[in-house]
Amino acid sequence: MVEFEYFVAGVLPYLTVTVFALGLFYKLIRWQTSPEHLPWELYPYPETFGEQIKELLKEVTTLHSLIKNNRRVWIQSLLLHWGLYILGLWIILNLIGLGVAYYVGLIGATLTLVGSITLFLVRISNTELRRISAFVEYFNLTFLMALSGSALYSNFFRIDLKTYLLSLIAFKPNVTMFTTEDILTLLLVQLFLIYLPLSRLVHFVGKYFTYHKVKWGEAE
Amino acid sequence: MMKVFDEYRALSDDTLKPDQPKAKRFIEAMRKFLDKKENWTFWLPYILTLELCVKCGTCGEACPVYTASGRKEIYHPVYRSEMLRRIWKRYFTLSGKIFRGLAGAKDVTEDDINALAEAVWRCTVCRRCAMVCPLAIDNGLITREIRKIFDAIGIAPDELKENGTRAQIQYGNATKTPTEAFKDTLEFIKEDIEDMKGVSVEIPVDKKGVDYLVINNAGDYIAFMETVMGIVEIMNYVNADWTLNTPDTGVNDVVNYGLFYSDAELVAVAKAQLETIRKLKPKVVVIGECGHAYDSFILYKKLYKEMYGEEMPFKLTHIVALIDRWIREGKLKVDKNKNPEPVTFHDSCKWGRCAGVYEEPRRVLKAVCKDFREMYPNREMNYCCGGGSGFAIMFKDEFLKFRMETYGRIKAEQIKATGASVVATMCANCKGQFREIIKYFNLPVRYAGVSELVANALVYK
Ligand code: SF4
Ligand code: SF4
Repeated sequence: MVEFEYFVAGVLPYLTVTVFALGLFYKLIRWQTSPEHLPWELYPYPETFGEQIKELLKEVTTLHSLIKNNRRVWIQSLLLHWGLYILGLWIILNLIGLGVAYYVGLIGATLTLVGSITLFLVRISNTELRRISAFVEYFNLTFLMALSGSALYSNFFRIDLKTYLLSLIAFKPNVTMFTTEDILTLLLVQLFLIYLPLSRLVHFVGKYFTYHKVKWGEAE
Repeated sequence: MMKVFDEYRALSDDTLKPDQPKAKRFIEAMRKFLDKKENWTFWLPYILTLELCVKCGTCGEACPVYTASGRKEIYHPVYRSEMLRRIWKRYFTLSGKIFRGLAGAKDVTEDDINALAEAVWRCTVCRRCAMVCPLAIDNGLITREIRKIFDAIGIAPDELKENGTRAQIQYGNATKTPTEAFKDTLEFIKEDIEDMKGVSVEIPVDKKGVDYLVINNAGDYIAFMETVMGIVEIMNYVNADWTLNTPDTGVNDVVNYGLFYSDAELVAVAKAQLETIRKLKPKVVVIGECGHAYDSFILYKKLYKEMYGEEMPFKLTHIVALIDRWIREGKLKVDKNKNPEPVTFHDSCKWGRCAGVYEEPRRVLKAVCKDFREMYPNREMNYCCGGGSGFAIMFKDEFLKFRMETYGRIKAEQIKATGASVVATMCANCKGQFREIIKYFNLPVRYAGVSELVANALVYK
């Protein structure tokens, strides 16, 4: 068991970072080096850089297209996405060393958990959504549920991320700071990061291409 | 005909050959279109759509076929895209090869391929779904990509290929009208305008180096003559330096059905059209009332560079933009009282969502019609009429019924709600569909081209 904990906290992270970075890099390069396709934009679209940023922020923060066109999954999706944004914020605040980070982490994980559970429930209870859903859709949501649930259960947000990351960088992984419960969370986080670039969850960067390179015309 | 997908058939048995195996050939052709270089024209939007869909279902809410069909599962945009995605996963992705069903992959059967070949003719590539998709991915594009694969293995509707792109390249127009017959039609148009309006008009043909080369949808000379007459009258009214062209010069038909189903055909037709234009050397090419043609010509800007290594030497515009300008400049004097009936406007997908032409027709119609009424929803959220991507000329079997019971039903309701007695539109395919909708639903309205209404409002003296 000790070996397993050491593996998860002391060895796997190197693999995770490598796979995550390479995976994301591969996707980005693959899309970025695509030949300039024939124009396929949809009108009207924001034309200036300022308008595009405004539109993008509106979509990212409010999931505006769902409010307008598909309300039945809007609130759930919004909770999930904000949960993930706030978890991102937790990383930053934790690294800076602010005490409030702990509570930010709790909020982020709670929103992610509630968002993924409620999305799972609409998906399975709404006939139309159920029809277009396959195993992968449920799998992704379950993954997010497990991740956020486990983080809350293990009280993961108390972790001093900075110390841990520095120990990894120094190739002297500090594995003693984790409880057995933490190890499960850490494992899930890493599996998630490995899975991310290979899955459709990579839409968080893919969206840049679909909007800027296709729907809004070639970025000048 | 044999049932392969639903109760309709768009492809004849002769074309589809449902009994013959084709799955292997399909997969081989599919491989080609997954290649960046081979499919440079649409590779990025294609791949992004294959990879990113999160199945949120928003596209279904926007799709006229899905919603009007009573939300039948098989007509959901995602359902159709998944038919292809399962094959892509199974044969072209590592996760699909390893995890199979768990990764959404599936061994393909001959029945799957037959069903897919028909399924892509239940979507007009109207792209309303892409307009609303939170990820901005495009199930309409997937439809078109699948059609491309089928065309590569010899399966395309004869209306669009044998009697469409192929005929157009061979005869100069998809209606197979020879020069003599074309000139007779023009003579008839000239006489008709002179009889009806009491004004004499000239219809120049094949003139080189003019200001405006007007190219119409050749079908207009047969089915929507009033539109052509309107254009002729308008060009004469402003005393423009203009010309039409005959098949003697090459292609005199502005359509490009390749846009609907095949890049190879799109390019072949483009080449024939551009060669013709290069010979005639006009300053401006004016696209008549044909939505997909204008859309194709937008693509030609890039294709032209690929073909000839230089920028297009002529400007591109369309007839309604010219009319709009001439009305605002006072060159066209119009009296809106001459069109007293309530008129509404149908935004064609190709003019609107795909080309951004929203304001010109509205300004023009408001200037020439006494009672202009918007149809709702409109502009970028307008519903496709059901004539798009070639459907307007596809009638096999019960296919007309499909067009009417889905898109047609929605459009009929939209028209009724306006209370208008005229539906104006600037696209030949839409007019073809409106002709059928009006008959099928027994609507007390008529359809009209924008140019026709403008000509009717012209003030002489
Ligand atoms: S709206 Fe876009 S992401 Fe959502 S199911 Fe449709 S194609 Fe997929
Ligand atoms: S392109 Fe139009 S018809 Fe086709 S799936 Fe999208 S909304 Fe439906």
